[in-house]
Amino acid sequence: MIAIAIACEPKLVIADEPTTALDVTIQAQILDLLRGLKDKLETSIVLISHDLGVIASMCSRVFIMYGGRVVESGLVDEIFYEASHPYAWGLLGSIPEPGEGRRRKLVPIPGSPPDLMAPPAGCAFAARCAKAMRVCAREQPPVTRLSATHRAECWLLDPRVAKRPSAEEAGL
Amino acid sequence: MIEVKGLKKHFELRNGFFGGKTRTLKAVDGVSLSIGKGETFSLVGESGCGKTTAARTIARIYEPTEGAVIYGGADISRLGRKELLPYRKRMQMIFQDPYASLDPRMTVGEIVGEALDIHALRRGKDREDRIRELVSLVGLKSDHVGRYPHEFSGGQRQRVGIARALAVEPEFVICDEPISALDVSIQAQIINMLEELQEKFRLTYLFVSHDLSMVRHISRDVGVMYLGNLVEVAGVDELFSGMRHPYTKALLSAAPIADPRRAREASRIALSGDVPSPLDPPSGCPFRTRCAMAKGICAESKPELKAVAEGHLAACHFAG
Repeated sequence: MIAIAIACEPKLVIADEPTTALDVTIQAQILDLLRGLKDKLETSIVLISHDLGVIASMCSRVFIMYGGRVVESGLVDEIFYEASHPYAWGLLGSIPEPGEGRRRKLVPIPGSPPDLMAPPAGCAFAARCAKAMRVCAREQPPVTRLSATHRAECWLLDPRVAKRPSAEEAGL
Repeated sequence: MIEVKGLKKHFELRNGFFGGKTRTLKAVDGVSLSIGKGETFSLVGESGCGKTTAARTIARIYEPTEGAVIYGGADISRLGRKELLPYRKRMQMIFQDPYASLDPRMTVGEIVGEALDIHALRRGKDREDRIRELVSLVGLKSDHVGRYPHEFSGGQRQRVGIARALAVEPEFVICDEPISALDVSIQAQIINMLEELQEKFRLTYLFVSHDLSMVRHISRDVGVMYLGNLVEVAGVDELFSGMRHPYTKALLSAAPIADPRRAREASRIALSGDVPSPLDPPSGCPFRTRCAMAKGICAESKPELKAVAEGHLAACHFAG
C-alpha cells in the first residue's frame, strides 16, 4: 500500500489511520517507514489518527477536529502541553498518563458526538462541555490566536470571559 | 481465587478433503497463572499470540487440550456440561466487538433477561426490576430496555454487554479487548465503569488487551504472551520498569508514548521479521528467531518460566 502511494515520488502523502488495525511492533515498523519518507524524500505527511501516542511521536503540527471543524490547531507541544479547547482537554484526559507515576482516574468526555445531520447551532462541543456557557449553544465561537502557530475556537478564550482556566485547573 | 496450570489448547487441522495428515496448531501451549479475588490480571501480546484463545479456554468456551483451571477448589477444565453450569454463573465474559456479540433481534431487556432465565434466577416483576437495575448500573436509561442493539452507539452497546455479564452476579469476569473497538473518549468511560464495578462488587478481572497504556492503568499483574506461551509475568510496575524478557522489552518499547517530549527521547528496540507460524513453531525458545540475544542453547532447549525476582517470572535462558 505504501509502495503504491510513493511510486511516483509524491510531495504529499495522506495517511488515513495507517496503523489503526495493527499490532504495536508492526505499527512501529510502519511509522519508521513514514518517518523515513519524511526525512529522506522530504515528503510531507498528513496523518489522520485518533491515537495520541502515534500523534505525539510522529507529528510536528496537530489539528484537532470536532463536529466537522478544526477546533484547535498548533505545534505538537502546544497541543499536548498548552491545550486550550475543552475538547482537547477531554481527549488528553481520556488516556492513561504516559509513563511512570501513580495511576490517576481517567476523565472521560461525557455523552457522544453530535448528529451532523442536525448540527447544533453554536459550538458543536457545547452539549458535552463542562465549561459551556449560554453563548456556546447559540453562537459559533470565533477563532482565537494564542500564538503565531496556535489557534482555538472556544468562547472561554474570549477576552470578555473574566478568567480563562488553565490546563491545570482543567485537571490535566 | 483462580489458578490456571499448564493450560494448552491445540487445534487439529486436517489437510485436504480426505482427511490425510492432520497438523496441530498450538494456539496455547502451556499457560500458568493465578489471580486473587478482586484483582486484575492482564494478558498482553500481539495478534495471534494466543491471549484470546487462552481466555476463552479458561472460560471453557473452548475445551482445553491439557492442563487445569482450578476455581473455587475444583478443576473446572474437566467438568461436564451440567456440573459446569454453576461455575458458568460465577464466571462471565465481555467481548471485544459490541456489534457482533449482541443478537440484533433481541431488545436490551431480552438480552439481559436471557442471562437471568438461563440460570433461573428471577421471575415476573422481580425479573423486570432486576433488568432495570442492571441497565441503570451500567449507565443506561430505563427506557433503553425496549430498544434494539442497532439503536445504540458502540460504547452503549458495550454497556449492554457488561449488563448482560453482570446479570448473574459473577465473581470473575473475563474482558476480551473490551475497549478496542471504541473511540478514545468512550474507552475512558468504559474503563472507569469497569473499575467502579470492580470496587463495588469485588470483581476479579482477566483483562485481554493489546493496549499497553490501558493495561498499565488497570492491572495489578500482567502476563506477556508470545506464540502461545507466557514469556513473562510480573506485577504491573515491576513489569513496566524492570522487564527481563527480550520480547517484553521490544513490545513495550514499540508502544508510542502520548507525550511529545518523552516520545522524542524514547529509543525503540526494533524487531526484525514476523511472528513464526504456530503450526510450525521454532525449536527451543519460541522467540529465538527474532531475538538479538539468541545463542545456541535457545534452539536446543525451551526456557522454563521461572522466578527471576520476587513475584516476577520470565522464560528466557538469559533473564536470570
